[in-house]
Amino acid sequence: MTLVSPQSDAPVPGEGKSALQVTRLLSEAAAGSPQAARELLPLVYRSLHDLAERKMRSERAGHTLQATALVHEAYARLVGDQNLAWDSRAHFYGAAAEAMRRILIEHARRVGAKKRGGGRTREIASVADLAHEETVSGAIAIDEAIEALRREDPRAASVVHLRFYTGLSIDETAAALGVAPSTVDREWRYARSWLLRHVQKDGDPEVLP
Amino acid sequence: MNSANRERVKELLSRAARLPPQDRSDFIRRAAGDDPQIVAEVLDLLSTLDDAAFLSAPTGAGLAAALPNVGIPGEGPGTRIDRYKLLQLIGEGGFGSVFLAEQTEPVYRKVALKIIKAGMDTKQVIARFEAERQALALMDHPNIARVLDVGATQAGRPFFVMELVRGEPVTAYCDRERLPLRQRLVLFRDVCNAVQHAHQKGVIHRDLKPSNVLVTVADGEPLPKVIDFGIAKATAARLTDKTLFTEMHQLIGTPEYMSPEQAEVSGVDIDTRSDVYSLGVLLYELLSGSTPIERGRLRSTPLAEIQRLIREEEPPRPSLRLATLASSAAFGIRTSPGGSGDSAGSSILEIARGRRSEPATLVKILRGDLDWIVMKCLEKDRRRRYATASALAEDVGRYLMDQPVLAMPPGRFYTMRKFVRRHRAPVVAAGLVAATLLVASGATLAFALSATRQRLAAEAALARAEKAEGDARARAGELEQVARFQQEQLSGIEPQSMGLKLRAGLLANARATAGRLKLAPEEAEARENQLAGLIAGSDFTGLSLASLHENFFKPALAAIDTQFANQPLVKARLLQTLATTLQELGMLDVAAGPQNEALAIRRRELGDTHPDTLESINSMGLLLQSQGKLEEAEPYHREALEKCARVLGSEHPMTLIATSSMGVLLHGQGRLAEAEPYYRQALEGSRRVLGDEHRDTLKSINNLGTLLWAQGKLEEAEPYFRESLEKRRRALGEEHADTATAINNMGMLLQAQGKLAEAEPYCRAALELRRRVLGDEHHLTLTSANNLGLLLKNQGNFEEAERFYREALEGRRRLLSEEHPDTLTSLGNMGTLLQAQGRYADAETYHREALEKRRRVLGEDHPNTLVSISNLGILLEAQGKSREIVELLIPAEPAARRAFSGGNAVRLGRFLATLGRARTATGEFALSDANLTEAHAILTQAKGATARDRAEVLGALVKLHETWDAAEPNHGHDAKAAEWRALTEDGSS
Repeated sequence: MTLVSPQSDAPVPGEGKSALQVTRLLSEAAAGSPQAARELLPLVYRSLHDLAERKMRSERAGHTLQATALVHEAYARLVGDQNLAWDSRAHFYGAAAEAMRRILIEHARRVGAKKRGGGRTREIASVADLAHEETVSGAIAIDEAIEALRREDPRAASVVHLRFYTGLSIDETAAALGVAPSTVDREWRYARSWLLRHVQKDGDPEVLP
Repeated sequence: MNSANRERVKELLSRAARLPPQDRSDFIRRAAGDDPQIVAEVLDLLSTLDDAAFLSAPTGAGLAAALPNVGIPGEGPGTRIDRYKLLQLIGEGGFGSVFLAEQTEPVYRKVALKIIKAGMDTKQVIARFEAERQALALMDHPNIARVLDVGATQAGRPFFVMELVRGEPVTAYCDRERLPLRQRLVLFRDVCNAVQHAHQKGVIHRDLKPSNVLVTVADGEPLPKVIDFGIAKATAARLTDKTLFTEMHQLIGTPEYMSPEQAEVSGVDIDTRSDVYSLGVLLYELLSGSTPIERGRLRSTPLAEIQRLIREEEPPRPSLRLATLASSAAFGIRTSPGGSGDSAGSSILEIARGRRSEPATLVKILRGDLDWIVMKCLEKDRRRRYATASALAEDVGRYLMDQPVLAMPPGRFYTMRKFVRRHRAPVVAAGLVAATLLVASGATLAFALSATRQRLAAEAALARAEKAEGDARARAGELEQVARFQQEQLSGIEPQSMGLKLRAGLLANARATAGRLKLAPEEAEARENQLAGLIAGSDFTGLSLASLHENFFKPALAAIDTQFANQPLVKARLLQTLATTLQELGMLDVAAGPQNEALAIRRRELGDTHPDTLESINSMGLLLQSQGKLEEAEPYHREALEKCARVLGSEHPMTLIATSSMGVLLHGQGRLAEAEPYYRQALEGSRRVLGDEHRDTLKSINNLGTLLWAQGKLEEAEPYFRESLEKRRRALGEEHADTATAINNMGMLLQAQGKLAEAEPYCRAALELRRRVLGDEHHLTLTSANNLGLLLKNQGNFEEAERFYREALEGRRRLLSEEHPDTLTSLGNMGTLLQAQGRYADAETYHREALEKRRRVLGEDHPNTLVSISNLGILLEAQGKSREIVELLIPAEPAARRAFSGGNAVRLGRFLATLGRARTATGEFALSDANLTEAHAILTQAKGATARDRAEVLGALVKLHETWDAAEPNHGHDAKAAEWRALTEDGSS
């Protein structure tokens, strides 16, 4: 896993809250406070969003943007070096995954709406026009599938949620969730197959095993 | 599934996934053999395991695009990518961006660099492109802009480098320049030729549309360039069921130009005919200003509906679309909301003006040939489209030259080709030309096979990385198209005319040699005659076929065998194509090997009900039919028919073909009553599914008429023959080979009804037309000569009849073969004619030869064999050889009773009458009585029986009883004789 090192030390706009405040919210959320969890999400969301935007503006063209890197960087900024308990870490990454999910899904919906509205740019030449949109509506379908999995098997769904939206590795996911890597591996394997099958059998839910 | 079971499933799945794939299912069965539900669940989940790309986290520009208010990280002017420097943005769209760029090494040049938007697996895109690169490199055509390079930007996005084309989409160019239709067609023809060139190299475009056909102006002349070859393939998602999304998304791309098979979600193989479809859409738009499925309509349509539209909806013909537009305009209705660059909202006036024409004129020009050319491209069933882009280009060319086109009136091309051939200056070294063509074809195929093999190897590496079934299928489609291309080239070769040319070439060479040797004219002539005599018995058609076999088919079959040993489906496809070609060339014995093998492979690999297997089964049956092995053919046709009906449904064109094939088989076997329902079903289906004037429907109408006639139901047959003639005249015109057939059949039917004077003009017209359209040395021309001979004979004009009969017989011996059924008919006819002239000895020679060959070829019980027997019987009777008659007819009697029933009973009546008369002469009175009494009963009622038939049989009965009375007086035979005599007088009064 390569971390993208920050290119500039300028403060991220809108990021006035201290790492301590975030840490407090995380531990309150871990203790079961829904209010803390609600406050945490916009914080992480904005952090991720701003980080991405800044990278795009300030860095040389062609720099790779990776969800994983963004999330790790947000963690570094919001939590810093503090040694968090696994359940607090889990809450951070959960919030990050949720934030990434919202970013992707909102975008997918927006693009879909735009498409329906017509008015596409006139093409001069074309290659797989939908290369991009493909990911987009794939995102919506995968998200719906993950929700279906959650109804059957919440644990497997959380593993997917974390891994897919934040790009955490098996080991990182295990550390964030406080379980053994082999457990994550097992859940991940199962969930991928389950989701793949679900997606393929879309529209044909009556198929018996 | 409860959670304890689910945990067990997870555990087994995890452990199984670490095993080599082939060991997994054994492991699972061993580990969870006690619970079938768990075994099934794990196996099911395992089958989805290996799609590596699935659920990989969002990265790169895809993510960037998704983040709100964050621009696409950007390459822009000044950015260096690999060895290219971006200069200027020249295009942008859903796909990404196109830049003008300069390449610095190894050469300096300006290129177009296209960066694909995010969301693709860059490695896969590049790997797919690499797999195709070799084929792409083979393309070299002035109307193709080549893709030069592929790579990944630093942001991880794939990019393509292309020959720089500064131009605008062909539709925009034509509209801006207000090009008239003819000039649009000329441009379009160039585009087709470019696409054909790519197809010959094994490259399918897959995304032909105006924005991929750019027009530049060079030296004041428009030059179309097709761009993006290889790119759609590289960027397309894999065609497997697993990538449902991707497929759906591909669909949203440019559905207006997408072929029905591309719109299938279930990964159908795409071949060159998909490009032909897209070309058809492009032509539609160039001509009429809108796409078959209007753009405005697609915008507001859900995906599934778009797919349905593409797959099912028959678009209106271009002229009809314009006419509709015109009438909407008349009522002040705008048809659909206009869009950028979309003429859907244009008024008919604007469209006509853009083509320097008037609305009414434009509609009139489109109606007919241009309509049919376009619609042939847009056939939903790709087998009905032009087989190649060049066939389409040729048809457009024919239109431009004011020649009849191949589209819709299906046989016109044939006519034309024959016409041209006949008027071409004689080619002396025809043999050489033919040989060159053969070698060229062989070389092309060998080359294509080897190039394809290398690409296949490159792709195999890729296929290991990603599941490759879809790709393999697509590849097979491409290979098939290579083979199809060869097939089309070969179909132009006619071994018969090749043989005739070989012979002519040989004689011409001899003459030339004589000239060089300065031989005296008499000497030269003598030598030439000697040579002609020496080669008179040579079979030049056979020589041509042998040469084809040696130089083309043998190497091709060997190549297929060695190069595709591990790709059974590809191999089967190629074998089937070759088998069909061989069959069409009449090389039936050579065809048998590949046909058998293709069928065996498909049965094994695809199962018995796969459409490809069904194609092979039907083809196998047809081959056996052509070989005369009708009994062996039957099970194949029954199987094909049953499975087609069950799997494809009764209305599927393949089912209709299978039904018709079954009818033809039974007809050929003489099982006329059984054949009838198949013919009727095929005809009804064709009328419903394909329409009244479709080629298959026209064939079916004729077939049913012919069958009814063969059953002796002349009145029932007549309306079919009349319909056939009328529809062909309308659909095909007068000067058409198929129209000639209808005229011939009409004449023959009138003749059979005894209306000889009415029949004569038809028979003469058919012969003249066929001479004109097909040439003298054509088997159908010979058929007409034979038929006119028959008519003249029946009119008592023996001399003229003999001339035509001889022309037919000699031509058939030469052109067909000694044992061809038509040659045998001619033999029989010559015999009958000579017999009518009283030349019995000559007649007997012909009859016996005909009978002997029919027995061997058709079998003892075939109606034609029985006709031969009857005819010989009549001849023997004229010679007074009664004993021989009895020996000839008795063994045939049971078969005659079976074959000559119903409407054909008159033949049985005559048969029995002949037998009975012979038995009177041999003294078998009781048997004679039985035969003659039955004959009388039959001939009194049977259709087609003449007064003369009845008079003769009565006379025979009288003679029998008189003879019997003389041999055995006082047994009442004299009284019997008197009874019959009384009837005779009744009949004559």
